[in-house]
Amino acid sequence: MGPEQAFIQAYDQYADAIYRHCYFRVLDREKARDLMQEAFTRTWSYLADGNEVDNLRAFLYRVANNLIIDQSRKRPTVSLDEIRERGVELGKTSPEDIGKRLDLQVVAKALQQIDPPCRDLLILRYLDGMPPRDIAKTCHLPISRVYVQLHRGRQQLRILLSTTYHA
Amino acid sequence: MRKFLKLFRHALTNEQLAPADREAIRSTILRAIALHPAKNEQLFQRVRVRDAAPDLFAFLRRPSFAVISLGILLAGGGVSYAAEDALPGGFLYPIKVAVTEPLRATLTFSAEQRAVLAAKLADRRLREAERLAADGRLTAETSAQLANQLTKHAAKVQANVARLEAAGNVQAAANIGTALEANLYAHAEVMTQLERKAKELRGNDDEPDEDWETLATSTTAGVAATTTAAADQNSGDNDGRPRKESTLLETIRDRSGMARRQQENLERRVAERSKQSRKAAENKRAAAENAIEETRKFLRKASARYGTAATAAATVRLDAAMTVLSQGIERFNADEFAQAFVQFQLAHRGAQEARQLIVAVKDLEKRLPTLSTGTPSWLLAASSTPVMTIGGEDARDDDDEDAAEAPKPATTTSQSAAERRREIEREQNELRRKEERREENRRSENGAPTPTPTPSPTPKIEVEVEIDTKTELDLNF
Repeated sequence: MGPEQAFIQAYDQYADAIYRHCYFRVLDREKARDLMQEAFTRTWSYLADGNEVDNLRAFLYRVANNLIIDQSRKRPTVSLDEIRERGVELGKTSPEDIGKRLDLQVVAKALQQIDPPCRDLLILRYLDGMPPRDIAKTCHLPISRVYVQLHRGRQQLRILLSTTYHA
Repeated sequence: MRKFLKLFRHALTNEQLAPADREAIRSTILRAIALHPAKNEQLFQRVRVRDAAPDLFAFLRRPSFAVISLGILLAGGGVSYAAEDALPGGFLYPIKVAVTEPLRATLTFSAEQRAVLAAKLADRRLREAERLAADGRLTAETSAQLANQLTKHAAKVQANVARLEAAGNVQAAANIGTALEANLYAHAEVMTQLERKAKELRGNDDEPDEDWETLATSTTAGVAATTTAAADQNSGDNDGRPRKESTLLETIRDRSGMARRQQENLERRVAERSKQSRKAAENKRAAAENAIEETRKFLRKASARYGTAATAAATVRLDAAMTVLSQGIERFNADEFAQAFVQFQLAHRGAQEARQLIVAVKDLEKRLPTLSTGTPSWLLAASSTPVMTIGGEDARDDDDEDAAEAPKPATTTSQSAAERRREIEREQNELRRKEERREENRRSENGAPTPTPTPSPTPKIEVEVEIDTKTELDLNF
């Protein structure tokens, strides 16, 4: 199988996940789509230029992550209050089940309120299923920091979600 | 995992990427992949697309959207195939121009492929014009549009050829340039002939034939605008005003001239590069000999079918090419590789031009009766393309009057009996042609319509047309 086919297979496999990751990081669907697309195209360019990649999935995440960071640097990040007021918009593919939709909203809102560093890690850990060791490698953080922040994030989450879930 | 985390996780996955968006992005990425092909096919050996879980759901994940669009594409396949022959004004023509041809363009990646494709498209536009004109269906608007398209394609060819040259691939650049130039040159002759034919059939009618007039005098400001900057530099009085209007024929001539100039530059460059390269000269010689041989076979068939008179011009051109070839061989044996190379290149080009002439004859043979009764003047014009010397002097034949009087190409010292025979035949042909031309001139002066089996009381040309669409410009060398 040629490189092109292999790559497009990778797209089919990872596009959703990458998109979701981007979405929960930037909380803007359109931006998330663009970021996902950009991540893939840049990865392809990297590959087409003759570079080798051991773990394509991890690489894609890293590219996406870098793109997100670049984005947030360029634009002043929206303040927390604004987000709270804006609320989380319903996408076109919001799940039909009202329960699910509410879940999504709640969770997304909760995420917004968590500090970015912790939030990112939470997303990586629980949405993308990345083991802490990989997170450390991707974000260039010492593992200890990863653990600590994950813990803190979990605490905040529990508090935010406790009303809804009686955890 | 704690319960809330589970819920948290679960809730997150509720965010879905819309299938439509997914597909759209997929297409974009495919396009990006096409634009940026992988340098090294090996690279994906090491990349492992890690399967988190066996991908049993891939099929289900692919939305029906893709399946439907695929179905439409397959169903539409017949349409786009049928559109290949469409003429402007025809029902399928918009599909041809807006779908089929652009689709082919998206599949061409290298500058070389793009140049080849653009040259083919330029050829197509010209043939469409000729078909319409012969049918009597050419309007000023269509002519203008076709001229526009032609300019666009010709410009693209030249741009890509220049790009190839800049990238160092001078050989390919020269080859493509040659083919395009030969093609344009042949078309120019065809159109001139069509125009002249129109005048003849019209006789001295005061009623101008609209359709033929448009072929000759269509005004295209857009065309003129894209004519070379060089032309504008020379005519300094064109600032501000809308550029001078140009006809379809002039466009072809302009482009042909530009192509020729570019060609000559390229050939010079190629010659410089292979200054002492014996190998390069050898290769070029092989190429030229092949081309000549192929064209000879083609010519033999055409002569058998249409008569030697019709293919006389091509014969002359081909013979000239052979002469140049033998000159090249002389130089080669004298170790003058650069000179030999240039000669071989010229011989090659001569063979290609001869080939184009034959193609043109085939195209028009069926409907232009003069071809069977004698050689019309345009063939005379085409017959004498003088050999280009290394100094770059190119005595081009600008005038038909010079055509019959142009000096015969120099002959080698070692003349075989066959060559001598050919020479004699050539001289006889030329004498005959001179006589016929004088007759034609006399006739047109008297105003009597040239005898043709097709009487035309109306200005329209009522002959039947069937341009051979299978004889496309052959750029495979």
